[in-house]
Amino acid sequence: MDSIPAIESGDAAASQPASVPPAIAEAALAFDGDGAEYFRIWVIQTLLNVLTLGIYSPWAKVRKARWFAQHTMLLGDRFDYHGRPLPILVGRAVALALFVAWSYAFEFSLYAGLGVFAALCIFGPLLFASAQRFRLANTSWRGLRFDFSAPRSQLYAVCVPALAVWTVGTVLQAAGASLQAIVITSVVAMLCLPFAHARLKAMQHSHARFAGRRFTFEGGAGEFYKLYLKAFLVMAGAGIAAAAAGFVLARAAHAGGIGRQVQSFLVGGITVVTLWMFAWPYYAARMQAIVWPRTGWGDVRFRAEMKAQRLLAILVPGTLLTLLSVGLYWPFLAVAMARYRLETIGVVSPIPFEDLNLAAGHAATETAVGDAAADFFGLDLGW
Amino acid sequence: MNWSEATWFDGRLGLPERVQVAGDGGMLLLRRTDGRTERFALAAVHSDEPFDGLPRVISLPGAGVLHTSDPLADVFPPARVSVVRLARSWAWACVCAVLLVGLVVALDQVVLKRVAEAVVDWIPGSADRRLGDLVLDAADRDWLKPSRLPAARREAIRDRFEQATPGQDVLLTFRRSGADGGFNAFALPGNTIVLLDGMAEALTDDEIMWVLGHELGHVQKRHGMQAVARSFGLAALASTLWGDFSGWAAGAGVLLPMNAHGRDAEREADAAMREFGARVGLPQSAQVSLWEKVKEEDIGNIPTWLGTHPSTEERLELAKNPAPK
Repeated sequence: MDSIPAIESGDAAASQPASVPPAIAEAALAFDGDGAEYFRIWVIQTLLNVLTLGIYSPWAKVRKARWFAQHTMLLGDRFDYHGRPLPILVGRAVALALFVAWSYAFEFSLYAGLGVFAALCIFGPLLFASAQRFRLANTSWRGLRFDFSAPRSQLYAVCVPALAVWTVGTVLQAAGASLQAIVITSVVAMLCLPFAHARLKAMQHSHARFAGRRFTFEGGAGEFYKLYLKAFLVMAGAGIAAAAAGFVLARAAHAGGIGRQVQSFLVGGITVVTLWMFAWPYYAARMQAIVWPRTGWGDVRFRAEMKAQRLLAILVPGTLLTLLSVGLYWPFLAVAMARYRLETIGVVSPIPFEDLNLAAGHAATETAVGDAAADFFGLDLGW
Repeated sequence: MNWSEATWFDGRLGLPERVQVAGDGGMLLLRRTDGRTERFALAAVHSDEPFDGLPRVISLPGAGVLHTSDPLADVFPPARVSVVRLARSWAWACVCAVLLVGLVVALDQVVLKRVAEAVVDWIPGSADRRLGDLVLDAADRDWLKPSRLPAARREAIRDRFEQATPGQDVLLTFRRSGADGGFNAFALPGNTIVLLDGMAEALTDDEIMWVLGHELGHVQKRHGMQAVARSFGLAALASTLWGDFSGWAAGAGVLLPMNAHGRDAEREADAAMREFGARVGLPQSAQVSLWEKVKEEDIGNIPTWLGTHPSTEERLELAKNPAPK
């Protein structure tokens, strides 16, 4: 643990706004998993997944989550993951059914589509919450569980508009609206998307708990707008650059007498891979940097110092190796990304960590914590 | 009794306590620093096999977790086979990697192909046609243009093809694409064959009939619909494989076969083409000159193992020396 000298005395800290407590103790998450070890687990589990046509995947997921959690440390103590596979299997089946229904309902008829949309609005938020809860309630540190429980009214108030913003284009198109109406509504929806996303993140973080105490989250829709705008510019830039590179390569390929299919594959492939390698890391790094500093747990604050350049240095060679190895390099890349992502998250406390009362507020919610593990659904949103 | 050192987080205070654990019959005993002993029924205790270099984690019912570096094999007898133990050996990992790659290829080439054929048998032909119409509509919007071939030539080609396929449910239509009209012909799901101007201009009528015979094979065997069914299967496979990868990355693997029928389908269509040529009485020399023109058109085309068509070289050989019946 890194301790830095107190800038102000404890009394002065008490009169400060809660959002800026002086840091007296700082610690970063640490990750000591090894890519080679994860590769061996991954390859065996993936084989089992294929052999069982995916039925095995919840068992694989649980073991994977346990491996990543136990290799993650804070103040020298490891996290634990306690999820059981069966609820995940059920949750995945439900989510898959909803997804398939959503994908094809509008092909079938407008009413079927609207019906599935209604089902999505009713069950989607519940599934989302239950997935959050399953993941957090099954994660613990020092024997204390995380948890998630948002009031149902708020859950719907946040999720349904987000869903509507996300799907309005599809619905209007299926309903046979004019092109003008679709374009205008889609542009308005796009403009609302960062706001909807900010509200979703706020709910996700502010209703999460650790040891019975809620996390806090302070606004920041403006930051989301800035991020979306910048990410859009980066994406447009990377897209143009990639398409140009692909085009030049395709021309060279043509001169070298390579068929047209290969040419179009070159242009498309290079564009997609470049977007994934450049736009995504930028977005992910900035998103962590926006979300974590706004999150608190009591007086404890979080830092996130993820750098897009560092992420790129991991992703560019990693993605190329993954492509070249027909996917076999993927587990190494997954571990490298997890390590970087976790190790850039820091915890800052206004009092020494030993003096933090982790037990406060715990007794009141003990039964809720117990219930959470028995939650029916469990979706994998990745560790 | 065999006591092992452990760290206990009781699930309430979040503070570590050094304790000793041991199994005793059906119970797990926990000896605390103050000498007291806690007892838990082993049936209610959960512990997965520990990973290499990580402590064993024991979840106690309502009482937090124990971490111990002792594997406690006497209390938690290891299963006969476990992923965690198999994963310790590179030999096993390599065997699995080879099996995995082989299995995915086999699944696609054999199982998915068969399943797709069986599934397509269940789908009414009207679905193929509807899908084919959708594809053609989209293509007309995006990259196909009306044919500029003289009407008389179009009529001549169509008449000859219709005479060769009496009573068969197949439709020939003309389009162009790109500046050179596009040197290509393709069969859509359903009963539509599209011939592009670039190809019609470059080939003689006899050669075009050979091409149409090939496309007719795709129509008769419903290869278009099978390709769609197969890509769905591949999507499911990719998402189990890359479940922890992002969704669209999994989808990207599915794009590859979307556009193509697969090599086996091309061989089947070639076989149908040879049968068609023999039945209609097409000159063999026209097939030879067709493949020579194709070869000319796409010098250095995709190598066979990458692309979906049998190599032009191979087709040319077969056209020059047809296999004895």
